[in-house]
Amino acid sequence: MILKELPKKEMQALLSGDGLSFRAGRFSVKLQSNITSIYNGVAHLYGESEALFQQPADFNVSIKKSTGLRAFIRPNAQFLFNGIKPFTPLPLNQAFPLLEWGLNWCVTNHSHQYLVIHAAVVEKNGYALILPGQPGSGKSTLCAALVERGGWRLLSDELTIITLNGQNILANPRPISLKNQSIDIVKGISDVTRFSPVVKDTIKGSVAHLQAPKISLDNYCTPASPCLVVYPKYQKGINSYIQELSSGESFIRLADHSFNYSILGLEGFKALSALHDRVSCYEYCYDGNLDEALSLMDSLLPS
Amino acid sequence: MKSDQILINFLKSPKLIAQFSEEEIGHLIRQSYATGLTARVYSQLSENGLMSFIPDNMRWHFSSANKLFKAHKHDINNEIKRITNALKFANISPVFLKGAAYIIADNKCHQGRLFSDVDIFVDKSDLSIAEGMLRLNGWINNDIDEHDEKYYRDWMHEIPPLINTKSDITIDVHHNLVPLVSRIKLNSDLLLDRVVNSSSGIKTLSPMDKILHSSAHLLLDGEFDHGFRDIHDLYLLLTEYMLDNPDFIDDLIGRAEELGFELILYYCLLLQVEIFKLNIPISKIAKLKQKIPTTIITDIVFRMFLRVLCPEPSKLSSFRYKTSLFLLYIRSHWLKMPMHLLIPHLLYKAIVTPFKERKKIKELENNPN
Repeated sequence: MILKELPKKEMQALLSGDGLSFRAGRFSVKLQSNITSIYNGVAHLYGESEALFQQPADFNVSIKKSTGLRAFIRPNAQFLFNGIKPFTPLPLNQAFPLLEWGLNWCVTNHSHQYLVIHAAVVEKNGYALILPGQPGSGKSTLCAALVERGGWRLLSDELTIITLNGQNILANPRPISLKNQSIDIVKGISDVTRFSPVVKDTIKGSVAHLQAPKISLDNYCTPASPCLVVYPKYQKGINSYIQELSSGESFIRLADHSFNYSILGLEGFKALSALHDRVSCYEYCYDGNLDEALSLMDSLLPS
Repeated sequence: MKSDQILINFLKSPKLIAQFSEEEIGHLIRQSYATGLTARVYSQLSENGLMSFIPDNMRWHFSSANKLFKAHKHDINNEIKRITNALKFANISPVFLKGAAYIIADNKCHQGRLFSDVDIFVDKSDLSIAEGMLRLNGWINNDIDEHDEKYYRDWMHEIPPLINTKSDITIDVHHNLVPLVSRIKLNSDLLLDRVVNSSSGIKTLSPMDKILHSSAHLLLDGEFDHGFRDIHDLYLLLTEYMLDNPDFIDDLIGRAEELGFELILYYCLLLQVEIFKLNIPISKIAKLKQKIPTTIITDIVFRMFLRVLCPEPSKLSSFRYKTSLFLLYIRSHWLKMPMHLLIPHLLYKAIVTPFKERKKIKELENNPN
């Protein structure tokens, strides 16, 4: 059963009661919340996700509205993980982005059975293309374009999960997070009904989320084989170019982009080494021409 | 089995895991996360060969936490070396306290214990040299406002925390072993008489003093973020030393009397009996009770300790939990400071600090880089 099929009343009762369990990426989440925008956000963006009823969830989280005086004056939303509050509360209208950031935190802080890297990752013909990038590099826009227009399968827009033998990338398909100008760009190339409302004035600027495609959700158990690492760098008005990067250079950059390389120690080193035995690495400066970018990415794939 | 007792029952008797349902193991995982003891549970499972009772799809919670613990232990060991080296030049050999001391002494309770600060003690006469040497070697102060700086220097037993810019690990330098409380008389200087040297020549408190010192912190500091972990540390320390020495509890009571720690030890032992059913003759606790001026307040405070040391996350939002937490916070300050200083301090913390923090967040929002 998927969340969309759950009657509205029942879903609300679960959220404000014991908790609503569903698949979020490859993890199961049990969520409690008394906030309307959380109900709306989950119902919309996780509508195609599997509802879970039986087994205990991987992550038990809640998003709570402030109580007391704060409920009336500038109300807040607080993220809780098993009673722990890892972040300061945010204004109530940012509750849904807070949930998404909180779920990322859950994965990056507790999943040391994998090497986890801050990068988007997509798959075609079984091959994975990893897109690491700083905020503003255009990695999420490129990732959304590849998924919405280029026929690639979304593995994750934010967290690349690599098995410790370095041979597989695991899928963790969750809503794609878009910021500022990229929201309108991606709205121009996909179905606008799959977007969440835009939340303005967050610490990252304006934020909107885009539903993960159903095909990605259905295939969350299918891993991909690492093949390409492309470091995108968006620069307005530049003449786009791509250049090969040595695996040594890429190794250092990926270690730097990873959340748990230093925790894994030797295991992390071995995973990144094995990964770099299999991938070609490029640096890609682009002017925002997505059609050109899509055909370029296709041309990098092994024929 | 009552679900809020699941972690406690497991820690009392890890073999019970064989009888836990999948749902109960799910609950164990929740409480482990809530108390920061996921890696501790891992160590108890693997030590007793019980890992196979955890379903395959749930085991990663514990093994991941163990990886984090191993990396943490490695980092702390390096930090201990850096600190001793930095202070060696000034001929100061610090006494390591709490978490770092458990690692140095290889106490069972260091297994799976994650903590953010390294605590050391240096003699008050060495304090400014020690602080200078640390600064010279790359330790710096965190952002701290004037009020907090003054509060630390005048009313705390430690200087404002220093952070190592290379490792990002914070060090708390103590010049007194317990908070400078004005309402209980503690001879904490005597703790230093029995300092022990590890095989590598690093100093820690003696076994008994370690227990008294950690209990004092847990029960006087007024912060219980890691309260359940700390009370379980004490349980492991007590069981470890009781196994070595059948008279350990008697000796410990004697030592508490010498130092003026009777009330602290009374609470500590009573909590161990109540929470973990630690095997101590109740007559010994009764004898200890005679030594302290118990009132109805003693019992109320004990009930409040029990409530805030509960590992069940769903209880954390209850009114009774919050009230106990608040009253114990007030109590810790009441023990520390005379009323004419306490009230301005608490008002500052309640009004000015949140305002300053909000301002800081606002600035961060306007200028995220």
